[in-house]
Amino acid sequence: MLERVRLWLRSVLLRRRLEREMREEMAAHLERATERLVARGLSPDSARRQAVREFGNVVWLQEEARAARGTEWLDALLADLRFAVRQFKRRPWMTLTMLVVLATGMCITTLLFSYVHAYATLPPAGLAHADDVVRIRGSQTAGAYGRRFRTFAEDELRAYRTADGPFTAVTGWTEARVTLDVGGEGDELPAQAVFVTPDYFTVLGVPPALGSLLSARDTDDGSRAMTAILSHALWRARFGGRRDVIGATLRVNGTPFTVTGVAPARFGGVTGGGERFHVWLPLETRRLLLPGVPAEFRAAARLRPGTDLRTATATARVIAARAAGTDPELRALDPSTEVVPLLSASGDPMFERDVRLLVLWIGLLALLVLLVACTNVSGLLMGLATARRHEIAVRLSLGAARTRIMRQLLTESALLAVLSAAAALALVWLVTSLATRLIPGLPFDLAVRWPAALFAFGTAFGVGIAFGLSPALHATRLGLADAMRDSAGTIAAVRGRLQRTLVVAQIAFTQPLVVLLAAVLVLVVSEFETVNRTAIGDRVAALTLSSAAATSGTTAAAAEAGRQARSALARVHVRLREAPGIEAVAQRWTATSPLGSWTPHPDDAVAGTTGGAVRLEATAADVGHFALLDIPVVRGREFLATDTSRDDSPGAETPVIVDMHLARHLWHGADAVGRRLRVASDTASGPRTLVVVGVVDDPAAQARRPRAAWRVYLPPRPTQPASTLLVRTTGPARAQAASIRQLATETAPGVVASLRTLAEIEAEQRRAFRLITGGLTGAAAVALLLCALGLYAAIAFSVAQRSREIAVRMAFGARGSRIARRFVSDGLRLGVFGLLFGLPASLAGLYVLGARVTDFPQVPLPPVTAMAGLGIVLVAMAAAWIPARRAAAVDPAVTLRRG
Amino acid sequence: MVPPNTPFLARTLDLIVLQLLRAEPTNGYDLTLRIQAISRDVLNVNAGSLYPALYRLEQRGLLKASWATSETGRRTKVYSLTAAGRKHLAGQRAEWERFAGALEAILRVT
Repeated sequence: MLERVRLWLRSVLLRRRLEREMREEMAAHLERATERLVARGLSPDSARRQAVREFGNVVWLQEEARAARGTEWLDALLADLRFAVRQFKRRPWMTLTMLVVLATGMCITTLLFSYVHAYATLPPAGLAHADDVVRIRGSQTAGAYGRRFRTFAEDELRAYRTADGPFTAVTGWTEARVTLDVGGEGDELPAQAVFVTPDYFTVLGVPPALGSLLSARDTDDGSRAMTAILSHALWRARFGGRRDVIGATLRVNGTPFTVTGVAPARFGGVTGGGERFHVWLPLETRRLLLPGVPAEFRAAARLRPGTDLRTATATARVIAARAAGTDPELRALDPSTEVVPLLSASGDPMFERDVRLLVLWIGLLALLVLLVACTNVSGLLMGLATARRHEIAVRLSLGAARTRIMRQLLTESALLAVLSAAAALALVWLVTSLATRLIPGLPFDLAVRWPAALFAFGTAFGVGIAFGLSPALHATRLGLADAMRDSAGTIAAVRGRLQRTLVVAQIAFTQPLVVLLAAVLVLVVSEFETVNRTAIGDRVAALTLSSAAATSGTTAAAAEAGRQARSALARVHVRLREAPGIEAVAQRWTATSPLGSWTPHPDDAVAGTTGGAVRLEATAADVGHFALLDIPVVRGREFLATDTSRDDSPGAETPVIVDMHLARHLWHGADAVGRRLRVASDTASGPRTLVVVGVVDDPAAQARRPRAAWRVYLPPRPTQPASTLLVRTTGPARAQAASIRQLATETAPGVVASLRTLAEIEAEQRRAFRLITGGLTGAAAVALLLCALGLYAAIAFSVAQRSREIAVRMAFGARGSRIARRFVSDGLRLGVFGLLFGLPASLAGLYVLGARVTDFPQVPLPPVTAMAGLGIVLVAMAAAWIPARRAAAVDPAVTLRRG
Repeated sequence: MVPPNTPFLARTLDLIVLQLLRAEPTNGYDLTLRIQAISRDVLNVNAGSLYPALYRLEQRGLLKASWATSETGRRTKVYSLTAAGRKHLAGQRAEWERFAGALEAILRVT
């Protein structure tokens, strides 16, 4: 057996030498036969001739010999490959197009698939997969939305940690946004601090990249407790990746810590957090940094060997029920706990069903992209195969087996697929490294995991080959006579029909993509249109005071934390007002609440106005808000302290400040101050009559779209204090950032203060906006390009097919431009058919999108679809025009002579 | 004039080649001469049949080939049997004898 393999290997690897030896052997044989015949008396020439005759067909014998050696398949394959390469070299542009299209399709499919796989089945970035590491995840009811995740209070966490049962170790952590001060340069860094129990890193199985990570003994010695572990990204970015970072001092919110270790690369904790940098600190230090603020914990654990998830969940549920105790408010939330594998997907989303939907959508999207790419390439290959029908017909007539030719065509598409796969790999690597650099803080690992990538790759590869099969099958089916006759009859019609069907299919697939992308683009644009550039943005800072909790937990802890933050804010507000270098301080609210439909009060209506209803949404504005932001008050006044005691009883009139454009819309240039608005829709709560006390010139408040809501300002409710202060400084706000924050932390020691100038906030939003719109536009452009390519190929093929017919027409006097117009209209017809077929899918997609996005009715549906459709049609016309122009340039004499 | 081959030759060529090469390893051309000589011109194997058979047997590991220099100074490829080849030959012989015996018995029936 082994001998056979060795011999087979030898015949494959030493083919050339064996061939040479065979020729030598045959030559020797012939020579000796000739000699023998000469010895018998024949002349050398006739002896030779006779010897050759007796020898038999040398070529046939060599083929037989090769067959006997079992390597003819290899020879055939090599010959096919050489032939394929020659074909590609003859048509470089077409080959390049097909390569790019396939590579892009494969790349996108692989990326999408790989990310979804990583998100749904793999642990968060930096964690190795281990079967016994689990997440203890709390949930509570969320009304109509089903259930949402909840965090644990300290005593519940303790209960899990001390429970004797399914877990060998349980670790908990709680997070907070902090500011880091590195090495006294004064350059402060927002980061996410994770306060962890001592066994955090051992339970998760995370080895240190540098130094040592926390272990149980660190807590015994109080003096060693001020240790910090840096995230890898933080270490690279701010400590230059230096090994001497161990022992360095790091100030967290002003308190010094000693760095004892660096977490491994890509590890950013179990929950994403959104911040780019992380520090892990011992749980005991939280009392120093955030005194009095109740903590909200999340937990992970190691399962005892032999325990399954169900048993563990049952135990956890019992503990959760006991922890909820008898508090009716808590019990009403129906808190529960489950034990799940530790995956990226099990960490973050608010509502669990989102994950399944996300996976489904992305899978469909990936499939769609792949289909588009493949139909495109299939169409191009079809055109290629048809252009070679002469050659194929001749080969068939010379005796080539149909399977042989099919194999050769398949080798071509396989070679194409392999080359595209290599290009796709390069693309994937490029995109991944770009994305990790441009988008920090993603909740899941961006690196491409090889198993998923290989699977996606293999599928793409297989689909690519399958789509190459159809052209191969068709190209070999024609008869010799028909091919040689080159009639514009049946064959061309059949082949052309297939290609045109492919193009229509491709446009039908692309249309939903383009339409949905356009819809999302419009949404994003309309959202971010309101990001204005505040004139004095760099002199106004937003100071946010927050409790430690990033998301809300059980009611009691969240309420208490909120209360503390709010009273702290009031104290800071007072202190800041008197501080030097501060011009003005006001509370800031960013949330808007819809108020419904309103009409001008009939008693206050101005003659000649139509009195139509307007939709309003309200934001709270503090006393002095407009002056602080340099928003001119055109008429009337700002809110006064007395306005804040508004009440919503039916007869009361709530003061409101409106933008001057709204005033003009409602009262046409008459003085709006003192006029009232009455609610037109039936809202259960909220004010029912508004009275205008001031008119401002605020571009942010204007409604940009016909049915959009106008923003109006209401005085704040005393029960609804803000969590952010706007601070206007005399000079650039960034320069005073440190002193402002210091003042805040001195006044309110229990709370975390973070500060950003308005200019920075808006720049960040604009950056995100540009990124998203850029990405969407790019994707839509790629989709349109694919359409164009397919159409171009179809029309070019059609032109080439009918070149004789065109030549004859032109010889009879038809004008070139008229012929070109016919081809353009042909392309147009294909585009319209594709649009029609793709329309149901597009509409379905838009409908689903509208159901999920609350603000969707604002986006005008028909114009979006029409615009996308128009875009495709224009692209179709352009793609058809280029080859059509070539048709018009056909020289009848040349064509007819060649035909 | 090349005498016609009997139709049984094709089936038994492997056996013939193996047996003769076992007796005396030689090259392809000499083998054709030997077949012709020993069978007294009854069997005539031309190159087109012989070499494929030789290569096939070599690929199956029953023959091995080595290059040697003949007396005339020419390079020839000499085929000889391997151990597996000898075993195969013995098996084929036994089978042939069984078959021939049975055939003979049938042909004796009148």
